[in-house]
Amino acid sequence: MPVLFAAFTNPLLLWGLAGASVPLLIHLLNRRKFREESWAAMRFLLAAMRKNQKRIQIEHWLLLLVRTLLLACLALAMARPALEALGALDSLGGRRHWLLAIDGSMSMEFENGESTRFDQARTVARRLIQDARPGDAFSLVLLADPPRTVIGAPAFAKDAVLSALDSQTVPQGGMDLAGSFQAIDAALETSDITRKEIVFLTDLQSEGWKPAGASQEEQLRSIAERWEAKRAHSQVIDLGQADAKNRAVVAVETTPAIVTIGSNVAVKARVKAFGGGYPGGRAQLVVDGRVLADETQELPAIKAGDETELEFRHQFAAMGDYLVEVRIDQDSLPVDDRRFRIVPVREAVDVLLVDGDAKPGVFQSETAFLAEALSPETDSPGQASAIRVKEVTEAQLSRGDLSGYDAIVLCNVARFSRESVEALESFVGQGGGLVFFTGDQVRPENYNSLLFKGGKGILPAEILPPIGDPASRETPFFFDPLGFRHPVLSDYAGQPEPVVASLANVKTFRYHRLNVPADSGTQTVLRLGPDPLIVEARRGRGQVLLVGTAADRDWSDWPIHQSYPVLMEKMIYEAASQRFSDRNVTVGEPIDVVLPAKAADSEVTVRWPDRSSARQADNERRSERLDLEVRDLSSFARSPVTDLAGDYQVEVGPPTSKTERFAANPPATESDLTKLDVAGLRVGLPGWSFDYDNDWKPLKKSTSSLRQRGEFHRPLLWSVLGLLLIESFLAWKFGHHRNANRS
Amino acid sequence: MDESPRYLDPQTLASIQGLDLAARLAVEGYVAGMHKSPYHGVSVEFAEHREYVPGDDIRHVDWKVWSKTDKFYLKQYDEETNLLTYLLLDTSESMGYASEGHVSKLQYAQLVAAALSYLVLQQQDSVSLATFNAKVDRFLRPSGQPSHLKDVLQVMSATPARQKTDLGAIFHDLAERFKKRGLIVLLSDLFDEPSRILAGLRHFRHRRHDVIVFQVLDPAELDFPFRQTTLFKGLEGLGDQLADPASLRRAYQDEVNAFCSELRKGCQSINIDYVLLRTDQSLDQALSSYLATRSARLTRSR
Repeated sequence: MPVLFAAFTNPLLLWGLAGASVPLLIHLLNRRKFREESWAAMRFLLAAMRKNQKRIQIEHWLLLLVRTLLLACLALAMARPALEALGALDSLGGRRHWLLAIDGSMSMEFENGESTRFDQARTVARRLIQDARPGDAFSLVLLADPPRTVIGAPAFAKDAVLSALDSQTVPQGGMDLAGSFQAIDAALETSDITRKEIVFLTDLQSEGWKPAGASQEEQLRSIAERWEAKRAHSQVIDLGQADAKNRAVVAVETTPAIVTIGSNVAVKARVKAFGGGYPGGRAQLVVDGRVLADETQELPAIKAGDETELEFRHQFAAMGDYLVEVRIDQDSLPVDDRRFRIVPVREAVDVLLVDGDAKPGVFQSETAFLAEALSPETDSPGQASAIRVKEVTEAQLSRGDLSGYDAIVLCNVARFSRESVEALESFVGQGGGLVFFTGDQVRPENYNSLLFKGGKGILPAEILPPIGDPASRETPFFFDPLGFRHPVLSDYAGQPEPVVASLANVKTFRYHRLNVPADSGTQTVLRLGPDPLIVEARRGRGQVLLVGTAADRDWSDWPIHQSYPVLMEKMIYEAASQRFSDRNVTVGEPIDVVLPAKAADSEVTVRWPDRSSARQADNERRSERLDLEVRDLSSFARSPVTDLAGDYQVEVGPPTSKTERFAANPPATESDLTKLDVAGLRVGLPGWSFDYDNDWKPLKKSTSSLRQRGEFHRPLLWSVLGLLLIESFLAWKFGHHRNANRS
Repeated sequence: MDESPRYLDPQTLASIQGLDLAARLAVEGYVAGMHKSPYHGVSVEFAEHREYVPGDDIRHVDWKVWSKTDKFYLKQYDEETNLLTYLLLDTSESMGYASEGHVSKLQYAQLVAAALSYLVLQQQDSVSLATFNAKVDRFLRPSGQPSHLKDVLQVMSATPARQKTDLGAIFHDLAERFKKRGLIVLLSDLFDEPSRILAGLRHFRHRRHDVIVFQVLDPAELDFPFRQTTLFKGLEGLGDQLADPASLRRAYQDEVNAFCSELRKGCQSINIDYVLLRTDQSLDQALSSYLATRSARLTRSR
């Protein structure tokens, strides 16, 4: 702590300190001004005085001291002293730079009484601005993820600050604590006003105020140290309620991951109760804003901390992007009582099968089994497949336009050209799925140098030379499904023996060993003995799977097992899944639009969701023009960060015309309204010193307590009271009253 | 009965012009308050009969004898005449002290002395008065004549409070002067060394006098009720002293109480009645103490 100085709000009242000399003066005057009394019993008086001289003197001085202190404290209290760090004295009574840091996380939309916490924060901020002295400057930062610096360089015009404040809405996302502190720090830097006041208006939601990890903690600590060095004073006004409860839809998932026309889609939603139990209610499935009457369910009662799962079923009749919404009865925090998901409905999942070993004849080609497994002939039993396959040869790969496909399967392709690798990278970059099968023609060195690139390419693992003898077929290798942990295999978990046998009995006679780099994020789906056979990794925006053996019967007997079509379909869906899940973002993230390179000249506009429940006309909704840039052989644009939950429409064109829809949802963690108390905050953010106030209501009327921080006139007044009691006690103790009573 | 307290109130008596009237009022008032006259019964003893001669008061005719003998006899009483009462009145400067609203100690002592004189003379006893300060100032020889009261009161009212006192020496002096045994009534604030006072009193006792000590003190001297800082100007040349009475009160009272209790104990040890009189008290305590002592003396001497 720097040396502290006391400064005074009413320095003139310091003259009152002179009052402290009053008891002394009275004492002295008493010695000068006295009554006279002729006295006969002098001997007793003299004896009493002789014996008690010392005690009386001590008592006198003690009383005098207490009375002097009492008046001094009173005078000091009236002068309203404030403790100031050394150096801030020069700016005393001068300008101040107010940094209003308003919590903009979703939880601030919690309705507490008649207004939301955010409105309350705004009310206090407005009062603070109105109460400020002329010459004070303001910055405004919303604590959010990402933080929103509304006014960075301090503004002096109150009207401008007020209107900027009024125009703010709560970003319905989470909070990036370190980022927000950084933003505040940056805003502090912009002004040379030495007296800086940071006023945090927040609900202290525990999720937002907990530093994520040691590095962030360190970052926060260093920022706090900088503030300390700058003598920026922090004041936290707590708008949260410890007992707030909230029910929220925390997840909406659709299965299957890829939805085609007519397929029966399960929409699963999880509803959780935070901070308190809820009685039952109603849950609705809403598709494109239409409430589906037959898809309204009873929502069971939920105990505090518990969650319940709801399942709706729906069939989509036409192609397109659908906004699916699960809605429950509104509570005090309405934002998370609905959750959105964009479900792109396709006619089919388009898969390109590239045959590296094309041969004429039934089931002679490398991709024949695969094609049959993925898209069986229509007369075969079971539900019609949603996968539409196209078989091409290796040579056709580099010529075709890949953007129309959702996944590409490359079977036993001997080698790749740089052009075809670029095309594949671009395809993956736009969210496409890739599945590689090896085979006898595969040149590992070509794969490793062009596709793996030492871990930087799209291939998830390095391909090592093959082992095993497919000719004799005497020493088969068997699958190790690793406990069916991977999503591709998860359906097998807990299945009866015959079903599992269709996987466990697959004999593999030859395979390429795969070298999975450590810490690369590559997941192993299944192994052959100690060696990974199927691995998966996220590459760019897409998903890539590598199978270390052939897709046909050359190296294994897998195609004749029942597990073959099942797993192949799963792998295709897994690979293509990113094309679909991409449409769902968390509020605070931007929307990335990836288009084929040829669309680089198109106009792209993102239209924000309507904020209110009443539908706004399209032209009233916020929209942003995006500039496309060519990146990684595709056209790419990134929108400003999303700050509302709901449906974002990306309109592309002209020349091409296309609309893609995206859904943004608040982070589920933000629904948990558990809050920190002041002690928790100090523990969570060590090194940050701040004043804390959890009674915001008086601040609606006057913010003088914020503006006159560091004051200690209250303790002084308490001292006055204490000294008064001590004085009375001493006076009584020293005999005045007792003897008066006795006489 | 209702009248008596008023007559015994020192304040009221002090406002009455002339000590003789005050004394009479006090005694009559006091007597009126009693069921039985102090003049008869205790002090008057039947002795013999004598024949009635005209002019005798017929109240004294013994009617029982008349009924038996048909002759008039008077009851003759053997009165304890000439019970000698010595009044010693301290007129030193300290006796002049009066706190606000009270009579001075001297005035009070004078009232008591006057009342006692009146009472004594009414009982046909003799009274003697000695006033003293630094030395014995005035001395009236004992006399039982009713006219003696006038002399006594005159001497008292003519004596102002002045000079300091040395009680021990004076008591020794007086003890030598009082040849005839009697009842010594001392009225003083006794502001002197207790040992010297007691030594003097012991001298009286040695001379077979009965002694009753009335220590007359002002209420202020006992309660020390002052609040403001006060410059106490010592009487009898004891110098001035500035003091804060509030803080000293307790210590002062301790001193006074110690002094009084030393005197009381000293007096008890030599069979002297000690009575503390506050100048705000009515006179009846002084009178009844006197009468009690007198009666005890008579009982003893019989």
